[in-house]
Amino acid sequence: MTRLTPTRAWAATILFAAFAILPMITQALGDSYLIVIATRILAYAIAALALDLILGYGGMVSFGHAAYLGIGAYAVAILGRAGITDLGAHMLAAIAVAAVFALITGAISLRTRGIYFIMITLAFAQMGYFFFVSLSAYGGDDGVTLNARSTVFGQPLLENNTALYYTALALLIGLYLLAVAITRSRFGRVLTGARENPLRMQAIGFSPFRYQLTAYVISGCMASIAGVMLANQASYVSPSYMDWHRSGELVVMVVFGGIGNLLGAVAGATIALLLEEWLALLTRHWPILFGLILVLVVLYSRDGLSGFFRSDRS
Amino acid sequence: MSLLDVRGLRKAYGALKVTDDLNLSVEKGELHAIIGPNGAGKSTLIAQLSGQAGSDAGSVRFDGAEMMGQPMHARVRAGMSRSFQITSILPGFTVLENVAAAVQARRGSSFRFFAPVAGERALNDTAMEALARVGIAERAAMRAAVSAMAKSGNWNWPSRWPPRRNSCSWTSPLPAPAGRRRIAWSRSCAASRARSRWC
Amino acid sequence: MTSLFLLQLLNGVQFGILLFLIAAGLTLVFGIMDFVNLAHGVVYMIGAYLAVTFTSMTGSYGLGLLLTLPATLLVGLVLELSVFRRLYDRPHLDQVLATFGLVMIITEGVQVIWGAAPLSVPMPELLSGSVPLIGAMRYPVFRLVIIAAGLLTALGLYLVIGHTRIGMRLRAGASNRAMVAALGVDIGKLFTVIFAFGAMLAGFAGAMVAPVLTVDPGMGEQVLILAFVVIVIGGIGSVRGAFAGALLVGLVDTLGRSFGPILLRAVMEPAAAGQAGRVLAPMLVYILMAVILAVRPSGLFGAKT
Repeated sequence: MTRLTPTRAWAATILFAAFAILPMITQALGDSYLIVIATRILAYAIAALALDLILGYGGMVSFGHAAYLGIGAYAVAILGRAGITDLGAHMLAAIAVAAVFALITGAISLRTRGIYFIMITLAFAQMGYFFFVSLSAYGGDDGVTLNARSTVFGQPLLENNTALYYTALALLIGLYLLAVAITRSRFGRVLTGARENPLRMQAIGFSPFRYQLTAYVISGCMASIAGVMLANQASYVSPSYMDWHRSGELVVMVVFGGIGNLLGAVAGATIALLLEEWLALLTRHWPILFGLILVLVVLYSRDGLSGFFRSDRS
Repeated sequence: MSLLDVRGLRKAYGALKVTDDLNLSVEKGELHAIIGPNGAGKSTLIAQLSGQAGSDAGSVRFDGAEMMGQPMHARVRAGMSRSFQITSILPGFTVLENVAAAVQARRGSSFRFFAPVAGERALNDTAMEALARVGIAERAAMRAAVSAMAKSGNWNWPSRWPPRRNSCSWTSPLPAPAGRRRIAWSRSCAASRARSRWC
Repeated sequence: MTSLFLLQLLNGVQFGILLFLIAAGLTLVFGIMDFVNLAHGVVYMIGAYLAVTFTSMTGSYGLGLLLTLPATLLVGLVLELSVFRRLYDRPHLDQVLATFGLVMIITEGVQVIWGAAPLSVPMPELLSGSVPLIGAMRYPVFRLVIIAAGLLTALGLYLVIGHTRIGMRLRAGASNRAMVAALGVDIGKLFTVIFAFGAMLAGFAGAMVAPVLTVDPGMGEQVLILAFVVIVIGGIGSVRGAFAGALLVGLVDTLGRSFGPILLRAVMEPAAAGQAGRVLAPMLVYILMAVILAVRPSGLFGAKT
C-alpha cells in the first residue's frame, strides 16, 4: 500500500514544481517546441498514472489502455464538430463513454486471468481502433484536424500553448492526488489485497471482481482525460491514438517509472518520451534502439524490469 | 434446526466420485473432525462447503439459509469461514493490515475512495485486540511475509476475528488429491502467481 | 447471390486457414510455456519478406518457399536461444515488455533492410489460373492451394501431436509442465523445439500469402491480434481449439464484411445500413470473442478453470 512518506511528498512537490516553472525556462531559452513536448509528456503522464492504478495496485496488466486515449480524443473531435466546444463538456463526454466501454470490456476481461487478460484487453482496444478507422465521417484512417481547441467558459484560452500546458499540469496534479487518496482508502486496501492474494480476500468476505472492475473503470475514465489533452495539444485526432503500440508504450512508461508508485508513472512518462525524442534525433530508425534498450533492461535486471525499478516494495 | 445442514452433496471429477451423496449436520457449539486417508476428499469437501469449489448436486444450509450457488465471499459474510492448511496471507501487508482487512470486510462499505483507511481507529483497535489475543501484538507493524509467524498455521486464526455468535469454521489438514489434471493445473498457476504479482 | 456466398465462404476459409497456421504455434507457446509472445506476428512478416528475397534470388516461388521454411525455423531458434529462454520464469509483464521491444526492433529493422514500400511476389505461373465453381463463377487456384496446404498442415499437426512420442510429450507438457520435467524429459529442449516449429509455421503462412497480399511492415500486427482472438476463442494450448477458432474468425470476418451491410439493409435504410455495416463489420470478431468468453471464460476447447 502507498504510504505518503515525507520523502514521497517531497519528491512529488519537487517534480510538480519543476513542471510548474518549466514554461518560464523555455521562454527564457526562446524554444517554443519544448513546451509542446512537455504538454505531451503531461498528457501521457495522466494516462500512465491511470494505468499504474490498475497495473501496480490491482495487478491487472492491461495492454489496451490506448483505447481510452482514443475515446478522449474523439470526444473532442466529435463534440467540436457538433458545435460543443467547452472543455468541461468534452471531459464529461469522454469520461462517460470511457466508463461504459471500461464497464463492458472490463466485466468480460476480468472473468479471466493472466495471459488471457493481457490478450483480451489488447483485442478490445483493437476493436475500438477499427471502429474509428471505419468512421469515415471523421476521416477514417487519416483522422481529422480540429477547427479549434476546447474552450473554457466560452473563451478560446487554450489556443495559447502555455495555458494548455498549465491546464494539463493542473489536471495531472489533481488526478495524482485523487489516485493517491484512492490507494490509501478502504477501497485501495481491498484492491491491493486482491492483487496480493485473491483467495484470501474471498475467505475474509470480499468479492475481488467488484473492486477490480471499479478500479478498471476509474482508470479508464482517468486515461480518457489524457486523450482530451492530447487531442487539444495536437489539434488533430486519428485512430493512431488507439494503436496497440501506444498501449505498449503506456506499459513501458509505468514500468520505467516503477510499478505501484504513482509518482513513478509520471516520471516514467517523462523518461520514456524524452528517450524517444532523443533517440529520434540520433536516427530515423530510433525504434530499433528503443526496443533494444527495452529488451536489454528486461533481460539483464536481476528480477526483471518490474523488480529492477520497483521502489517501495522491500 | 442444525446450524450447518448438508444434504445429498455430490462432486465428481470425471468418473471419480469425490463426494458421493454426503449428509452432515452440525449443531451450534459442536466441534467435528473429518478424517480419512490421502485423497479421500476431505479438502474437496471443505472447498465445497466454503464455496471455493462448485458442487454437482445437494444442499448446504447454514443457519437456515441456502448457501448452494452462493460465492465464497457471500458465505463468509453469512458467518461461515475457513482457514487454509498452507498459510494464506496478504504478504505485502503488515500483520495489522492483514487483520484489519478482515475486520473491514464486516464493518461498513469498502466502496470508500477518499478517507485514508490507515487512520480508521475502529478497524485498527479491533484488529489489535485480536492480535493481542493470540499474542502477536508486538508484530503488528511487521510485513506479514517477513513475520516468522507466517510459517505457522496459527496465523490464520485472528483474521476470523471477531467471532460471530453463529459462526462455524474449519481447516483442512491434508493436501488436495494430486494427479487430477485440473487441480494440478490450477495449482501450478497459483504457484506461478505466488512467484510473481503480475500473473 | 448463392455463388457470391460460396465465393466469400471460400475466402473466409482461406483466411481462417491462414490464421490457423499462425495461431497453432502461438497457442502451443502460450499453453505449454505459459509465455506471452507478442513477437509471433513479426515472424510471419519475416517469412513473407524472406519469400520475396528467396523467390527473386532463385527465380522460383517454389524454391523460395522451400528456403523460407528452414530460414524461419532458424529465426525461431535464434530468438528462443537469445531472448525467450531467459524469460520463461519471469512474470508475464516482463515477457510482454521484452517481446514488445523485439516487435519494435524487427518491424523497424525490416524497413532498414527491405525499405518501407510494400513488396510483392509474382504469382507462380502454374498456379495463377482459376477454376470454375458454379456457372460463370471462377476461383483462383492459388487460394485453393493455400486452403489445401493449411488443411494438410492441420492434419500433419493432428498426427504428430496425437500419435508420436514428441506429440505425447507436448500434450503432457501442456497439461502439467512440472510433472513432465519430473519424468525426465528435458523440458528446455522441448520448449526450443516447439518454439522454432511455431516460428516455422508462422513463416510458412507468411510465405504462402506473399503472392496474394502485399508484403509490408505492418502485415504482422493485425494478424497477431486476430491470432490472439483465435486463441482466446479456441482455448489456450489447444491446437484443435485454434483450428476451430481460426475458421470461425475467418468466416465471421469475411462474411460479416461482405454480407453485414446487405443483411442490415433489410432492417434499415440503404445509406444508413451501408454506414452501420462498415462500422460494425470489423468489430464482429471481437464481439464474437466477447460473447464466447462471457459463456465460456476459458474458450471453446480450453480446460475449465
